[in-house]
Amino acid sequence: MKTDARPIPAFKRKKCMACKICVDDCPVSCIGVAPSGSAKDPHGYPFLEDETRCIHCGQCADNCPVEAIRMVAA
Amino acid sequence: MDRGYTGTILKVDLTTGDIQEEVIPDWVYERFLAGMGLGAYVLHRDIPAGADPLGPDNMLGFVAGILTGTGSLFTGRWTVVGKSPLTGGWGDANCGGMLAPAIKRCGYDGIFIRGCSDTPVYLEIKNGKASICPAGDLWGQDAVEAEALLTERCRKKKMPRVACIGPAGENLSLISGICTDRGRIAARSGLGAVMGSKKLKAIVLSGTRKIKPHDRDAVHRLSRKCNRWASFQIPFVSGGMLGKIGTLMRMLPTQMAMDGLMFKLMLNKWGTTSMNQMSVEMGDSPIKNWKGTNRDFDAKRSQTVNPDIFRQCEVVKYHCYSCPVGCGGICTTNGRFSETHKPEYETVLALGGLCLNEDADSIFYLNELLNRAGMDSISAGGTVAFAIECFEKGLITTADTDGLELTWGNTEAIVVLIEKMVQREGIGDLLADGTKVAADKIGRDAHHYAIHAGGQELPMHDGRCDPGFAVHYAVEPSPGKHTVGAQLYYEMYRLWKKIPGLPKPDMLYFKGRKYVADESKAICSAACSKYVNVLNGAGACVFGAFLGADRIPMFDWLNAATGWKKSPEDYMAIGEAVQTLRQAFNIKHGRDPRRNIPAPRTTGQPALSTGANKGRCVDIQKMIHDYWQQFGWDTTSGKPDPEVIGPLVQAPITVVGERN
Repeated sequence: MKTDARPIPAFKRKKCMACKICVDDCPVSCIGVAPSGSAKDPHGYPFLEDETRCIHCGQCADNCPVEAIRMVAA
Repeated sequence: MDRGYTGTILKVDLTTGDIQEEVIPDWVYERFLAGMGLGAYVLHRDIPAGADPLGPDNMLGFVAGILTGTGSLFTGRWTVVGKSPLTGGWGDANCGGMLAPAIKRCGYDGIFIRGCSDTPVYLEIKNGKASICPAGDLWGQDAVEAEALLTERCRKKKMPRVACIGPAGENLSLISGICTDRGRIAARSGLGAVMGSKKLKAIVLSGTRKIKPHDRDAVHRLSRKCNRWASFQIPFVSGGMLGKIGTLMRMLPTQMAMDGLMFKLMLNKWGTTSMNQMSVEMGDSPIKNWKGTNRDFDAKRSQTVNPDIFRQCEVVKYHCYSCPVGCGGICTTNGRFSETHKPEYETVLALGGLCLNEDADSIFYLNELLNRAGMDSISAGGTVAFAIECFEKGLITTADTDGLELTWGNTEAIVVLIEKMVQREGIGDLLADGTKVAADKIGRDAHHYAIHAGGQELPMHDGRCDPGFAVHYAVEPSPGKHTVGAQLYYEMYRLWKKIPGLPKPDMLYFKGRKYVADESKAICSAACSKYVNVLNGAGACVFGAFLGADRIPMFDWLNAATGWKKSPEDYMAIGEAVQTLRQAFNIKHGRDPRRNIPAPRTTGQPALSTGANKGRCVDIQKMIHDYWQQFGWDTTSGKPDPEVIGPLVQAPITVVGERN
């Protein structure tokens, strides 16, 4: 079966500051913020909300100040 | 060459429908930065003297900072600027959320609007094209509803970001603000009314332009370093313990210089509500319209505003753009609204201790009601407290209040009164323009109980506890604001670590020393004002700055983003220039700086006979005099030298053959 090899963002929770720079950077707004957090870690972290909208541009990874996003094959 | 800013502003005239771009020369940014500094330059230049704040000559500017979108942290604040209808002079308010980068992604450092439309409109900027669209169907909607409708209507690929007014701005309430992100609000200075007077319901921004700093890698390196300080946690302390710490701080004759890292830890866990009980206990929070004490809202009563109560309602923490702390939160509530942004410290105490209201549910409800209406919760709480005192003194009666028994702590009456203020209904119409206007209408002794600086209601930090607040309430070109300076803020900014010659506070000192009006205090206050002007020009948040200048690399970020090679002293000189220009704006518009001194009780005249601030009195006249002296302004009138202003706003002379 053929898979889509174009890269999509993968988020490293441990590094992520939840600062939403990637949310703003995405030109097609396909990165969302989790609507709830856990008692231990109540922050709303970014995630790939709609993979079909992703244009694989890598802007989110390039502009993340703490290198919490990697572009990986889907 | 990429410099972090776009070098362009958009100018819209709603009377004529004219839309044009203006290229701003580099020297303007080098002299004033972007953000509020750019706003000061444009407004000082373009608003004619004596313009009616609610007329077509006034301008409203939405401006973003130089650092916004460059990869720096804590730099997601946008500022709205204009001539304030509340004070009659310079007006600014800033707010977080996601709007600031959206302004720059549309290709502008600022969007300036003048003129007045005949019918309700909104401004949409999409794919580099601005258009004025009808908003008749949105007029009357609250800010959250209007934002949801516009987001859905205008969305293509990129999620649009919206700033809009609610019914308070539409009704020209002088204490109304401008909302974004479902209830974040640039609340101060009454600029929502300016937007309402222009019949401008909203601006909708969906740009995709890249924001290009000079050296993004260098900005990122600095951000990673800064994030080490920003990512500490505070695991052991409970919300109730904070109140006890406040009690201890009240009882001790000495005080330790505050390290902002501690405050950051509290913000991280509870947000600004962490200060609720602590502030009441130590005398930082004014009680009962500034005439009460912590004894009137003692630990048992203030238990209802325990920070843990607000934290328990939090579903998720809310981060503004580029902020690693996340002091905000989204909370679930009972009653009419299912959720709300976590009420801020200012809101809780303005609607709580200031009116002796002990009901936390009512605070959640009023928080959302005011956010949706687009009304400033500080001014709303201050105005309710004023009305209660007027009722107590017999200046207004149930015949005036539509039957409401306006007594201290009467939650039901407080809720109804604010609902009426939002709708401008009955007594609410009298109070919807804040305490100064209401006192003028009520007459007799009412102005004694109107607690404002130059027309703007005072925030929930008591100058009798920290005289630095009292000074900044009175001396700032936009008076009555708590987000600029205080002795506490100076300790947390740690500017002496970066700027040689600034005084370093002692680690431990007797509290009595805070009230000595000496030159050192004036130097600290002036440094706070200058630094905050730099922060506002950069688009930065003061809470980030509380980490300390040695931990948040503001000056290095600015150099990395712009390619400049300026020293911290150079940036402080920029801060001074912005302060002088804003003061010059006030003088141009006939505002007398001496009229900004708040009611005597706020500085301890007469001094309280009991409570945390017992016997404390601030020599406000001397402190103001010394502050003006630091800026080289006339020490009796507060006016900057006209010979300084001229060259400040003129283009530098370029020698032939030399590139500017």
